[in-house]
Amino acid sequence: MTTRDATVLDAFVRTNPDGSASLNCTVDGMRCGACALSIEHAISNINGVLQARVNATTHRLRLVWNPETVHPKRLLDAVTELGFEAHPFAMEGKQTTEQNLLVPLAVAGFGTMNIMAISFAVWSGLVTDMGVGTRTFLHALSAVIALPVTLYAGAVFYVPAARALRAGRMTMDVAISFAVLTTLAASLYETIRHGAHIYFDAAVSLVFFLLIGRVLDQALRRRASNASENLRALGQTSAIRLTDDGKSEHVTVDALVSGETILTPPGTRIAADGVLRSESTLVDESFLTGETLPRLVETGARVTAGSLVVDIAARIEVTTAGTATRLQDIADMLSAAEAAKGEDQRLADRFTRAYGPFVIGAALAGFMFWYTIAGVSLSEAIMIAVAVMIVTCPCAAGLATPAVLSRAINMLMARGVIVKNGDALERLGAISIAAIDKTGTLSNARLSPDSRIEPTVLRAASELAANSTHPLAKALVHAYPAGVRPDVKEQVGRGLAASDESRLGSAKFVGVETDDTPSGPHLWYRSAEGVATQITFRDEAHPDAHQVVAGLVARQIKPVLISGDHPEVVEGFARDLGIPDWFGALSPEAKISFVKSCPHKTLMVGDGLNDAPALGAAHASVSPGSSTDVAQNAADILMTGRSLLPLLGAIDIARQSRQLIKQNLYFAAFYNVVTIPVALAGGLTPLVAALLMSSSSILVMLNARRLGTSS
Amino acid sequence: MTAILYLLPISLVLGGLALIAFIWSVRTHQYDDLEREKYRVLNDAPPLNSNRTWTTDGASDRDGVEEE
Repeated sequence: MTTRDATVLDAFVRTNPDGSASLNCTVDGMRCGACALSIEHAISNINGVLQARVNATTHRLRLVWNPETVHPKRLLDAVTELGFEAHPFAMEGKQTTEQNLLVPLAVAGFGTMNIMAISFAVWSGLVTDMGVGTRTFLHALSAVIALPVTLYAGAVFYVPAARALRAGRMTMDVAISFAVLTTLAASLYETIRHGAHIYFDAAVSLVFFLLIGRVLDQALRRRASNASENLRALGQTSAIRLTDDGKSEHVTVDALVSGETILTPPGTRIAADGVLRSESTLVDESFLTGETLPRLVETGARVTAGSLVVDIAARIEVTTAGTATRLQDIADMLSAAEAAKGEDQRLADRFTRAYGPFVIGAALAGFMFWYTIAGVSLSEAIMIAVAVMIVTCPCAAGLATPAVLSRAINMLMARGVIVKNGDALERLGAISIAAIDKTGTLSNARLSPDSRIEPTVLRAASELAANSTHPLAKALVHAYPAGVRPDVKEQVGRGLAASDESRLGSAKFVGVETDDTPSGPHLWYRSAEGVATQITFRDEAHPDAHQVVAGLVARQIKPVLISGDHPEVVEGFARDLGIPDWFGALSPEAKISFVKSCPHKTLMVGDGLNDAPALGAAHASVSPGSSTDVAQNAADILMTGRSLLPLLGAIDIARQSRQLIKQNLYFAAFYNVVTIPVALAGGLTPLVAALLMSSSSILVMLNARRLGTSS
Repeated sequence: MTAILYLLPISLVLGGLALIAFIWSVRTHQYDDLEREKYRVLNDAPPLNSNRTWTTDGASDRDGVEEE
C-alpha cells in the first residue's frame, strides 16, 4: 500500500465549502525555485485544476481542483513525470502561534536609523555652537520616535521578562528590559530638563541588534521544524477500514474508532492497537522491542500499532485508536524524561544567569558610588548608571549564539542533517559517549545467513526455502535467490521437505539429535545425501556501520551498543563491528536508566519506539530517517536518509560551533571588562556607547562566519 | 535653522511610508517563500487562474480556501 494508490489519496483529500477539493503534499526532490515553477506550470495546465502552488522554502504543494473534472492521482502523476515525488500530507490542525518578528525588527531598524541621524546632528552640535533650543528640539524629536518604537518592538523582550520575573527567574530578557526601560526613562527626564546627554539611540539600537539575533533564531527553528514535519509526511500512512457490508475504504489513522475492523496486508504496518481476528500471522515487532525475528500472533491475541505484518493479511479489530496503550506508556516515559532534563543546558543561558544580576548590580553600584560618595547630583548619578547598563547589556552576547548556530544549521541541512533546535547542536558538541541502538539503526533489521557457512549448502537450502513465507526462509532466499521447486512441501511451523529427501526446518524435523542448541535464530538443513548443516542467522550490519563506529572512536567518543534484541545476537553483532561495550535484552526502561546512569554526556542514537524514552533522556539524540514517528519526535537531530554517516560531520560542526560560541561569549565578557570601568568613571558619552555597541556586535557576527572554514 | 522644524518631520513621514510598505509586504506573506519568487521573473507561462495567497499552516487563509 503506497500513498500513491488512487483510493489511499482520498483519505487525505479535503472538500471545500465551494465544492472544490484540496490536498496538501510535501514534494521530495525539489532543489530550487525553478523546480517549484515547473511543477506549478505542469499541474495548472491540467483541466480542472483551480490552484497549484508550490512553496519552494517549505517544499510543500497545495492543490485545489474541481473533483468532477479531474482525479488527484492524475495531478500527482504529473508531478512524478517531472521527476519529483509528492507525498500527501494531512494537516495536523495546529496553528502556528509564533509571532512574526520581521515587523518588530523593521520598526526597530526604522527607529535606529532615524534617531542615529538626529543624534549625529546633536553630537556635532555639542562641539560646535548649537543652541540649547535646537538641541532640545532634536532630543524631543528622538523621544517621539524612540518611545513608540521601543515600546512596540521591545515588547518581544518585555513580555517574556515579565513572565520570568513572576516565576522568580532571571533571564536575558529581564536584563534587556530593565536596561531599555531605564535608559528610556532617564533620557526622557534629561530631555525635559534640557540636558546635554541622552541615550535614546542606545536604547533603540539595543532593541534592534538583539532582535536581529531573535529573528535568526526563529528562522532556524521554523526551518528545522518544517523539515522534520516533511520527513514525517513521507511515512504518513492510512489504514484500510472494513465496513459492515464487507467493503473496504482507506481512511487516515486518526479517523479510526475502536470496535472497527481494519485490514493490514503483508508488508504494511498495523495502524492501531487491536486484537487479531483472522488466522494467526507473523508480526515483526522490531520497532517496539528491537527483536529481529518476527513473532507468531495467534487469533484473538493482541497486536500493537506500528508492528509490521510479515506473511498473511491480518484482519484486526481496533481496541485502542489514536493513542495506544503501549505507545502511551512510552510517550509518558518520554515526556517524563524530557521534563527531567531541564532547560539550563544552553551556554548562553548559563552565561546570562550570572550576567543578568551583574548588569543591574553594576549599574546600582555606579549610581551609589557617584551619588553618595562622590556627591554628584541625582540626575548625573542616574545618567552614569544608565551608561553602565548600556555597555553591560548583552548585545554581543545576544548575537553570540544565534549567529553561529544559524550558519551551522544551514550547513548541516545541506548535508542531510536536520537539527530541531539550536540547543541540540550545542549539546551534540559536548558528548563523549554514544549509546547506539542495534536494530534498524546500525543494522538493517534484516537477518542474513552466517557467511562462514559453505555457500553451496546455502544455495541448496535456499531452493527449498523459496517455497516458504517463513521469515528465516525469506532471509535465506534474499541472500541466495532461488526459484520455486514444485516438489517441495511445507509443513507449517515445522519445515520444508523435498521429494529427494532433503529437508529444511527445525532440528527435530530434519532429524538431528543435538544438545548444541545455538543462540539466536537458526535453521537446520539436511541434504539429499543426509548431511545435516546448521544455518545460523545474524543481523546484517548497515554498510556504513563500520565507518560510523570507527569515526566515533576517532573523535574520542566511546560507542556502546544497547539493544532490546537477544544478548547472543547483540554480542555477535558488537564483535563484528568492534564495539567492546554492549548490552542486550534491554527494555525501554532499561535503556533510559542506562542513559541516565552514564557518568559522561551521552548521545543516544536510535530509531524505534523502544528507544524513544532514552532519546528524550539523553544529553543529545539522533534518529535516522527511517525511524518511527515517536523516535523522530523524541530526537533532537534527524538524518534525512537512512545512513548515519552525516552524524560524524554533524559532530565536527557541533564541536566547532560550540568553540565559536564560547569565543563569542568570552569576547562579550572581555568587552565588558574593558568598557565597564570607562562607564563607571563617567567617561562614556552617547557617541562612544553607540560605537562600542555596534562594533562589538559586528565582530561577533564576523567570528561566526569562520565556522566551516577550518576544522 | 527653522527649516529643520518641518524638514525633519517630512523625512520621518517619508521613512514611515517605506516602513508601512514593508509591514504590508510581511502581512501579505510576501516573505514566506523567498526561494521561489526569485525565479518567477524567468517564468514565461501566463499567470495561473488564481492569484490567491496561501500559507501551508492554514493560519491565514483569507481568500475563502478553507482548511480544516
